[in-house]
Amino acid sequence: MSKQSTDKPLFLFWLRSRAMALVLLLCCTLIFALVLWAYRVAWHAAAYAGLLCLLPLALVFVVDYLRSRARYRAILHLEEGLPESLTYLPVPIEPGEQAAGRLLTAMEALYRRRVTSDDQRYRQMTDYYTLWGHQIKTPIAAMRLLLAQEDNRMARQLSGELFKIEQYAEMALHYMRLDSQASDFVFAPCDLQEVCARLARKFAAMFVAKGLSLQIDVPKGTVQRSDEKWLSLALEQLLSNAIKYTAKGGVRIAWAADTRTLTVSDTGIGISPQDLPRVFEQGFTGYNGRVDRESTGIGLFLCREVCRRLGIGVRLDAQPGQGTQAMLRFPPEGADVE
Amino acid sequence: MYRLLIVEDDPIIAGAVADSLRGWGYETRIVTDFEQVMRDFADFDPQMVLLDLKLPRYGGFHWCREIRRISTVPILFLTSAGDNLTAVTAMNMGADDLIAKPFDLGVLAAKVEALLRRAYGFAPATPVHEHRGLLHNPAEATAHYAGEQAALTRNENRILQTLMEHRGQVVSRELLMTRLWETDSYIDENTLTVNVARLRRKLDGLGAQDYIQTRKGEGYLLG
Repeated sequence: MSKQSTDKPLFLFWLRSRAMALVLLLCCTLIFALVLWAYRVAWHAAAYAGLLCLLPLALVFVVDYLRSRARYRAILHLEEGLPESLTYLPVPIEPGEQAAGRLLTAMEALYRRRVTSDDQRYRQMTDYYTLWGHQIKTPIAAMRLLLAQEDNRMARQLSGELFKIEQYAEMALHYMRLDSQASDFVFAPCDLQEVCARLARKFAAMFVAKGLSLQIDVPKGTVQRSDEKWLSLALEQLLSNAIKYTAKGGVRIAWAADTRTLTVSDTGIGISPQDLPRVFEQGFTGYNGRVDRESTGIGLFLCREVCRRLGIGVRLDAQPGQGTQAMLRFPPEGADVE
Repeated sequence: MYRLLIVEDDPIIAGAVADSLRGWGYETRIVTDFEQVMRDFADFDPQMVLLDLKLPRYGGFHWCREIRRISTVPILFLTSAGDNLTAVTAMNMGADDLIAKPFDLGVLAAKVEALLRRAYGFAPATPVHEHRGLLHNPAEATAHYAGEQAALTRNENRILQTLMEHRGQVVSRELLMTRLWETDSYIDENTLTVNVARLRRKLDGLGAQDYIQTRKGEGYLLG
């Protein structure tokens, strides 16, 4: 806020608050003028007395205005340090100020109680969902081992569905871990070829079930400093989307050393131009999401959040019907990330 | 034969892990009394312990510490918490490696083998499969029949291994392809057909006629 814009209304405001005094002053002046006129006092004597009175009056008003302005600014300034700055409220002068001050203190106490209980509830909730995420993995593991003993259509379909459950549980766990434990990021050299190969093994059954091809063009010994677990999770979202939205053709993962970019491209349905800018938003599903009811708008959001913490730039290029290219651009060597 | 102690309170997981590892030629025992894990440990004297992190009463970390007091056997943690913190804690407690649930039995077997090799210097001999006179050595990628020997390519080796593991069952093309994909060979349907045909010809050449049978729309079966 500039001084100009606060001063003018402030002056008018102050003038209005002193309206009573000004009206009173005007009345007194009129009475004096009338009486002095009635007694035939020389006009210059009256004017002289008036002039002398004006001097202390003006002084009082100017001082009063300046004090009022200083107070106004001091209180306004507290806004920046809320809620702690409430203790620095100026000592009230008028009863109204005193009451307002008390109200503010009460509000603050209420606010603090609310925050504490919200924090506590949030912590309890994340603790529980984290526990749940771990609990669900044991039955998933058991079911997976049972299904591995069967080799038929039903078992394969159930395995596919189980794989999705596993993915969702994994995503939920990571979603909660995202802001609760920044310290879980451990940076070390990652072999990108190995990361991609491991993901391909993980998604093998999905690729086979849909009859999609896969090509990994990442040279052996492509090493980047990152957190392997989180990087895998981010890449997994891109790969999972590529499989989900591709019916024919395949997926290619390629590394471009000159731009330090890992690209996941597919031959799928692509993304419409009006959806493209918003795909990384939490909960955004767009047209593709309406077609595919399993879309929740979490995967890409999670991917972007993870990449942000890894210092990786993520971008999507797509056109409807022409496939999608998802690009992960790694930070330059020695760059500072979290 | 290596003895592996399995400390896992989910009976289905423990059973499946034990079955699978027995198939790889290990002797296994499943702990059932989770108050007395050390009694089983002393009694069975295992060369390796597979330890679940979440156990009734005392957790896996507790038993890891207890085992470390008296032994340096490799300990492999089975855990549902795959985060870095758990891994670091497990390693600090004296674990040798960690596998996150849900895991794949093939991956588990590979980890067990790697740990044993690291701890005892040599890997356990991968079991040689035998069926109708044909011997398959997956570690060396060779097939033997009536004194003759044939070298197999990586894909042929994996196909024959999968068929051998499912002797007497029809193995679907999907399963074969998935197994191949899991060894970083991203083949398509046609390549699988070609690979199976080549493998068949090789086995024919050894004298094992009609060894791999085709079930239309179902898959393949060892004859």
